[in-house]
Amino acid sequence: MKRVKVRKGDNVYEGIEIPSVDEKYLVLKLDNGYNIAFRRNEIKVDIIGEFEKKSKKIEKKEARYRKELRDVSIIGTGGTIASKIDYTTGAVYPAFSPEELEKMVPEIFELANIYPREVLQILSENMNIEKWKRVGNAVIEEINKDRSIVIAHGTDTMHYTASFLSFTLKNLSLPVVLTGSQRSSDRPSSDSRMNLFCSVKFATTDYNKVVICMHGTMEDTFCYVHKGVKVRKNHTSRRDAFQSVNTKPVAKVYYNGEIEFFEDMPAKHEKRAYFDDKIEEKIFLLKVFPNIAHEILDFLIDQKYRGIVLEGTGLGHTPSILYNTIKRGIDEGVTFCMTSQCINGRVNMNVYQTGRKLMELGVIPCKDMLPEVCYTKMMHVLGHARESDEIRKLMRTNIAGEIIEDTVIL
Amino acid sequence: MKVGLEIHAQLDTKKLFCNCNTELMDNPTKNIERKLHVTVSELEEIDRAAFEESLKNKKHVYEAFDNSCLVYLDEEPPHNPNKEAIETSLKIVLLLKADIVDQIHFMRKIVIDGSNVSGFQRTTIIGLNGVIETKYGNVKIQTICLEEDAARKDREKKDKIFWKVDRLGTPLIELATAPTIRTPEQGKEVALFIGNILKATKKLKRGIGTIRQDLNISIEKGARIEIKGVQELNMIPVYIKEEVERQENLLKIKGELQKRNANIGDIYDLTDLFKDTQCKIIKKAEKVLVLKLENFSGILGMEIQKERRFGSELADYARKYVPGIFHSDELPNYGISEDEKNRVLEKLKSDSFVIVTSTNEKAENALKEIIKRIEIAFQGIPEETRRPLENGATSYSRPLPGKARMYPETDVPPYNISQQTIEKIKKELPEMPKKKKTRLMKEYNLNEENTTKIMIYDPDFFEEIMEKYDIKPTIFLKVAETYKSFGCENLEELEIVYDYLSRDRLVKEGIETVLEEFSKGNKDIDKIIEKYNLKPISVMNAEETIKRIVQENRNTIEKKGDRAVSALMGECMKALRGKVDGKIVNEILLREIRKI
Ligand SMILES: [Zn+2]
Repeated sequence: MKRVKVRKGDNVYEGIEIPSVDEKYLVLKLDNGYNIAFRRNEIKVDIIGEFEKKSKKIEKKEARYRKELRDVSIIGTGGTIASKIDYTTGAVYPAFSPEELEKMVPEIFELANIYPREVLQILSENMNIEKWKRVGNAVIEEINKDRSIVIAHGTDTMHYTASFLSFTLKNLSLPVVLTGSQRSSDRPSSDSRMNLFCSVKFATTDYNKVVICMHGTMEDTFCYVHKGVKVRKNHTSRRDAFQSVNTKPVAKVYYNGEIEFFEDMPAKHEKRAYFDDKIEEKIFLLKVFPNIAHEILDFLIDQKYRGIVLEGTGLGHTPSILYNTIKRGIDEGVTFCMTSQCINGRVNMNVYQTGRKLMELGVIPCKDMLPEVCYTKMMHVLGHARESDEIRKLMRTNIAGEIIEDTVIL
Repeated sequence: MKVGLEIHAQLDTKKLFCNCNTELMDNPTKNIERKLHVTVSELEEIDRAAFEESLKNKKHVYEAFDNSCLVYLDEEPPHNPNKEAIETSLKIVLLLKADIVDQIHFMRKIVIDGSNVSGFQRTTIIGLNGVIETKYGNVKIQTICLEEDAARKDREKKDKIFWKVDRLGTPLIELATAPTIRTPEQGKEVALFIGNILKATKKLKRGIGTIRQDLNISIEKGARIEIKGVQELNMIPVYIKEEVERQENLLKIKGELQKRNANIGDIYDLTDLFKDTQCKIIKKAEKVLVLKLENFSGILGMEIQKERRFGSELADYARKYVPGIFHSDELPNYGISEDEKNRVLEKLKSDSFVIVTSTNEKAENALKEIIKRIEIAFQGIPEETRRPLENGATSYSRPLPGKARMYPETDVPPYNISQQTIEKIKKELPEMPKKKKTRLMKEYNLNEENTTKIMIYDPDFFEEIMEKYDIKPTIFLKVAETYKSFGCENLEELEIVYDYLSRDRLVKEGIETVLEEFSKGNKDIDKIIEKYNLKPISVMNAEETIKRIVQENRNTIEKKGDRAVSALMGECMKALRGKVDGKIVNEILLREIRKI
């Protein structure tokens, strides 16, 4: 970047020219820290020097290993939880070296021996199967070094990833905790610090399942730990956006490190953990709505989609206009699963004629499964099973905690 | 001497980045507890003030209301900036003949004392290089900023600070002058001038604390001192004079300490020595720690500012841990005897000392702060933020903050200011205060002094009252200034008083009583007038006459009820014509008839 002198009328302004989104404007960072901008065609600009960023070298420190602590690997995928800001331009970039992490969240180094590992650098809306596979394989490599896992993840699709990993990480012996932040980590009020603290703390327990650990309320007092297959992002911006659906959270982790479990510890696995990478990619998640046309389903069938999750209305319904197309799909080997766009509650296709008709056609009612969970489960199930009876059985059998037979009053 | 002025004024609009009202409220309904963290920046060093705050490791409890929205609880990104606030800022920039930026870039300025829920304040420069003319010469306005006001501190309890979020996000105009103010009086004139320009926009919030002035003062060889939150314009010259005197005296102390070869000694635990003391504070304390000082006699008690001694500066620094200190120059006093003082001096083999009492840890920490302050006294004057006191002196509040860390607010897109917008605002510009003042003087036949007072108070309100009510400008001023002296500024309440005065329902001598009662919360003016007997004599006489007539005509009234008014009005007016206004007679008559 250049240091420049800007003349506008009688006034002269000096500062650093910083990149501007709109080319018509010159953005100047004044020495008092403020940015101001002028229309380029009304000013005269003289370059007076180069701006050298004083980048302080971060000292490499020998990690002090403490035998009494567990080992926790923090896997970076992008998102704002572990990021630094360039105070000149405002650009955010990941900060994932152990040294940088220690500077940002020194307290987690008191909880465990920390091993940061950056696997991806993406915004979570760009997550896809290929990237999930990279994360899954990295988790297994780390687990096999006897390290618990914390995955730093963007919040948009964190519940999809959690659900995907719940089905594909087999024989887990240690916790896999996904966490993120709803308020960027440059701000003093960021939720990232407490989320990371509570996640690392939870990773040192024996709860050997995939979970999401995020703020429990708008306050900085505790995080909830949610089962990876029973959780959803239910708010666009609040810290407590992630909520357990149709069940209680697994545990509460307080900011002072105390943990309160709401259920028993799962059984241990003696066998070696592995990542099951047999995945069917052609799965579609379709929301049903008034006036939906059957052509969209025809198109999906033509495109050789092998599984379609219907996010039906109410107890699990679609307009009758879709019946023929659904029948055509099933005849051609496409699996249709029914979930509900009500999010809370379970589907029941016996109550109304519509539900009974859909079941008759071969649509599989997926109990109290969340649509997003059903979607990732189908990827896994169709990766293994070909026969419709087997698929039906697997979809309706609890694999990773995604089905609870009775919804309790919460 | 170098003095710069910083003025903050709240705008009377919605909040800067959401649509919430900016009225202050009572009875919060929600508490949200948060912690703030400093992220160590690579680029800049943690500034001193920020670091000191973070050391306190406080929890912040934000008190919200039923209608508080998520933006100012830092649970939702900001909405677009308030257009009215931006346009008002542009007006001010134009009135100050400053350069307008073509595109507004909001910044995040890190603030970690907890007063901003997010940990930063959003702020932007709207204009630069304005100028105002004073009789002592031109003063440059370096920057005109639009920013968010902070939350209100409610109370502190142990490790928690409670904040009300109602004020957070109120748009604030911040103007900073160049440090080119040369005399204390010029300081006041500049503040006055800027205040009038701000008020001319008619978009300023009214009431106590809505305009705040900060003074930046330094003298040669002295230090930069910021006096924060001056509200009374008349006090500005006093604060400047007192600060200059303080710095001069501290420089004298520096010279004296070096000349005397003064020395800071060790800390002694003299709890036992005060076993039988009459001093109540020491009696209650767990520990009595004494700091030995050598050759400080007379310096600790030296007056450096009105009613403030060097010892007071030390006490300020210790205040984080203990409410107060004792030093040898002020003893015997506070129940500490001459004998006890001498025994301490003997024990220390010295001429001076400072006593701190508390628990061991607190007393030790307090003494560490005191030592830190004394060490600086050998070097000169520390850069500080100071709190204005009523008498014109100041007390220490914290070290002067370094340059605050600032970076772009990426959640708010740049806001273009088009030529059309500026042309539109130019057409809406209010009359400049200088012009207005001349016009008021002529139009209302006022003298210079009263016009200045009206300009400071509220010239628009003045004109509004003059138009509506038949009262003299001096009475306008008397009422407004009296109410302000009780700490009140409610214009609707003032208008009631003007109304009563203009209709002869209240004697001038009763103004103060009525306003005093108003300020105590008794707002029923009729009751107050009744209670304190504040009616003009003519009205009282009229009441007697009317009462008599009513009694004489009981029969008519019993028959006709309210309609008797028209029947009796003639008789009343015959007796009272020329003495009391007919409207008042009518009112009294009706009241008396209804009593029957
Ligand atoms: Zn709001």
